[in-house]
Amino acid sequence: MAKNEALYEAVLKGRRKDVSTIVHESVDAEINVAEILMESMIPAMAEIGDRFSRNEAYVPEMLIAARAMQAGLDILDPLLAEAGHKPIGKVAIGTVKGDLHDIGKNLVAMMLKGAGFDVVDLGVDCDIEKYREAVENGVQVILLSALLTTTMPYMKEVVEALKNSGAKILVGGAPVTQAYADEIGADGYSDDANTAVKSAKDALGIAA
Amino acid sequence: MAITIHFDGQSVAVESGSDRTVLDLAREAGWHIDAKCGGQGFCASCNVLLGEGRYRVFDEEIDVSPEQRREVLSCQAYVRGDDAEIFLPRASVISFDGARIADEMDIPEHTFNPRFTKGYGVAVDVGTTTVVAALIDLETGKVLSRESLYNQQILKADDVVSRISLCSEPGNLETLKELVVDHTLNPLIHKLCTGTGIDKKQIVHLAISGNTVMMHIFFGVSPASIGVIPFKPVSHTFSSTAAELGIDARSDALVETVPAIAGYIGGDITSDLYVSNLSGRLSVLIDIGTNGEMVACLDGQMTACATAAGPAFEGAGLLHGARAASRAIDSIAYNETLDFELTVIGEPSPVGLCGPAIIDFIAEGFRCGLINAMGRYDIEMLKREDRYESICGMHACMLVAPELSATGESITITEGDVAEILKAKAAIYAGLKTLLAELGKTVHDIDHLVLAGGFAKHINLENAICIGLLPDIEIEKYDVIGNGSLAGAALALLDKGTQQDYLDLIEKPEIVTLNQTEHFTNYFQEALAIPNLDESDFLTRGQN
Repeated sequence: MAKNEALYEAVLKGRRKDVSTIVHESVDAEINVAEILMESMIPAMAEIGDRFSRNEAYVPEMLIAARAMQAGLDILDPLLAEAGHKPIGKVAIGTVKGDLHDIGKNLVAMMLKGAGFDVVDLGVDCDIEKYREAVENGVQVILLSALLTTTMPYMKEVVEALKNSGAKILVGGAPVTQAYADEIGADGYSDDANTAVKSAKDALGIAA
Repeated sequence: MAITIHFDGQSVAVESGSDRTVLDLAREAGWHIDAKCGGQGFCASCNVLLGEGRYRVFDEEIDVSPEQRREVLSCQAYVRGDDAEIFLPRASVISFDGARIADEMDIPEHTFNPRFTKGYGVAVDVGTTTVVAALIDLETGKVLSRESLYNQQILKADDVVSRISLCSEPGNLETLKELVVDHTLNPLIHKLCTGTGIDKKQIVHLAISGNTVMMHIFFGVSPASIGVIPFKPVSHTFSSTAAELGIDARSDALVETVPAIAGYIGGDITSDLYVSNLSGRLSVLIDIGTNGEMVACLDGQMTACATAAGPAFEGAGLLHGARAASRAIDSIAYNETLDFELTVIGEPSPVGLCGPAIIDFIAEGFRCGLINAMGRYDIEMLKREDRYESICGMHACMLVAPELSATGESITITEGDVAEILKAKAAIYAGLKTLLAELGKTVHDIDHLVLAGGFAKHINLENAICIGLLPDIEIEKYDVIGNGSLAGAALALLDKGTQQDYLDLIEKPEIVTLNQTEHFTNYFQEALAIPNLDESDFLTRGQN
C-alpha cells in the first residue's frame, strides 16, 4: 500500500497537475520529502513498469505516467538534495554519437529516476569523452542508447574505450539485441525501460 | 525428402546450400519474405516455422521434430543436411497482388516549354515502397500512360535507415541500385512502351523525384552520410545519362532529379510543395509516411521538419497488419454493439488490416467507448459482445472470426497494436505542433493544410482528426493531393524553367530538428493520448 493513495493513483494514471498539487500540499504539510518519493511515487512507477512487463500497459501510458512523475520530481529534487537524501546509485544515460533520438532514452531515464537513482542525462549525440567525463564525476553505470542501425556500431567503441574505467556499461535501443551486447562486451542489455531498471540494479548488486 | 518450402497450400523443393539462409531459400522457391531490417536479425518480420530437420540458427545447432515446429528468423537460419520442411506464415510473405499505389496526379497550370521538343519523357516517383512512372509525349505535353510497381528494394530492407545500413557493406549499394533500376524502373518503362507502342529508344528525358536516400542509391552514390548527424546528403541534386545508369531509353537520354531540401526532406517534398498551391497566411504541407515530412509557410517564410512515425501506418509491426494491397481491410465502421462493417481491397476474405482501417477502428472505438483516452479497451464490452481474445497476455478485439478470414485464423487488434498507432500519430502531430510553435503559431492558425502521399489519399479525415493524428480545424481547410512527387517530376519534363524554380525553392525552408527544440518531447507525450492531453487542441472533435 502506498502512503498517499491519491498521489500514487495520480502518478499511475499520469495526471500531471494532480501530482504537482498533491506534492505541493504534502511539502506544505511538512511531510518528509523522501517519504513522499519513496513510499508513494516510486511504488507507482514500479507498478506501471510491472504492468508493462505483463503486457498490461504500453509505452504511451508509461510515458504519460513518467511525465507526471517528472512534475513531482521537479518540486522534490531540490528539497531532497537539501535534506541530504541519498539516491540508490548514480548513473548516466545518453544517446550515442550520430544519433538524435531521445524518446526511448528519456523514458529509461525517467524509469531510473522513478526507481530512486540519481540520473545524469547526457543528452543526444554523445561521444566517448562525454561518457568518460561522467565516469570521472562518479557515475557507477553508463547506459548507451541508439535507435538507428547506422549509429549503433558506435556503442562498441564506447565499450572498448571505457571497459577499464570501473563503470558498468549497459546498452539498449530498438536495433540492439542481447547478442549484440554480448558481442561488443557490454555489461548488460535491456530491451525495454522497465528491464533497464533491473539491469542497472543488477549491475550495482542492488536487490530488485 | 529434400528441402521443401510450403506456403499457401503449395510446396516447392529447393536445392540445399549451407551458405544460404532460409530466407534466400524461400526467395528461390518464389516467395518474397519480408525482411524489414534488411536481414540483419533485428526485427521479426521474416519469421518462418521450421519443420523436421537440422538447422543452425544464430550460431546454435538445433534439431526440430515434426511435432514441434520452431518459429525462427529466416534471415538467421541455415539448413544443415539435405532434408528440411519450412513453412512460411502469411504475415512474412510480401504479396505484390493488387497493391494499391497512388498514381493519380494533378499537374497544375504551367507553361508548356519542354527542354526536349521531340520524343518522349518519363516522369518517375521513386518511393521507398513504391515506384510510379508516367510516359509523356514531349511534342504535345500529353500524359500517355502510367504504371506502378513495388520498389524491389523492399526485398532487401523495408525502410530508408535499414537501406543506409546495408550500403555500409561492400556490394550492397550496387545491389540496391540494380533492384530499383534493372528490376523496377526498366520493367515499368517496358510496360509503358508496350502499352503505347512506343520505342524505348525515343525516350530522351527522365525526371526522377523521391526521397534523398532513394536518389543517392538510384545514382549509385552512398547515402551513408544521411544516416548520422548532421544527416547531410552528398548532393541535393543528381544528373546522368540513361546509358550510364543502365536505364532502357535512348543512351544519351538526360536523367535528372528534382532537387532535395535536406537529408530527410527530399525532392518528393520539393515536388509536393511546388504543386500543392499553398494558400492563406499560414499553410502547411504534410506527407504522412514512415517519415512524416512537413513544411509550414507563414507569409512566405518556411520551416520544415521530418518526424519519425515508424512503419505502423503501413501495417508493419501490428499483429495482423497488412500493406494496402489485395485482401487488406481498408475501412471499418461500428458502434457499441461491435458489429464491424468492413471493406476489403479486392478479394472478399481478408488477411489483415492496413493503416487507414486501424485509424477508423481507433476513432470509432473512442467514440463508442470501447477504447479510452489511453488506448485501452473496455474489456467488459468486448466480452459482452463476444469479441474478446487474449493474445500473449495482451487484450485483443476480434475483428474477423476465423471462418471469415483468408488465413483460417481470427483477425484481431491488440492493445499493443493500438499503442503502436498512438506512438506513430503522436510523432506526426507533435512534429506539426512544434513546427508551428517555431513560427509562433498554433494549429488553430492554419488556413490551408495540404496532405500529400498515398496514405493520406485513403484515410477518413474525420477519423484521423478524432484520434489526434491531424489538427482539429474545419474540414474545408484540408486539401488532399494525389501523387505530388510524380506531378513534380512531370513538370520538370514539361517546362524547362521548373528546374530553376526547384533550386530556388529548396533554399527557402529553414530545417527544424525536432528533438532539439524546447517543446517537441512535451508535445509528443501529450499527443500519445486520444486525441491529446492538451484538451484545448481538440475542442470540437475531442469528446467521446
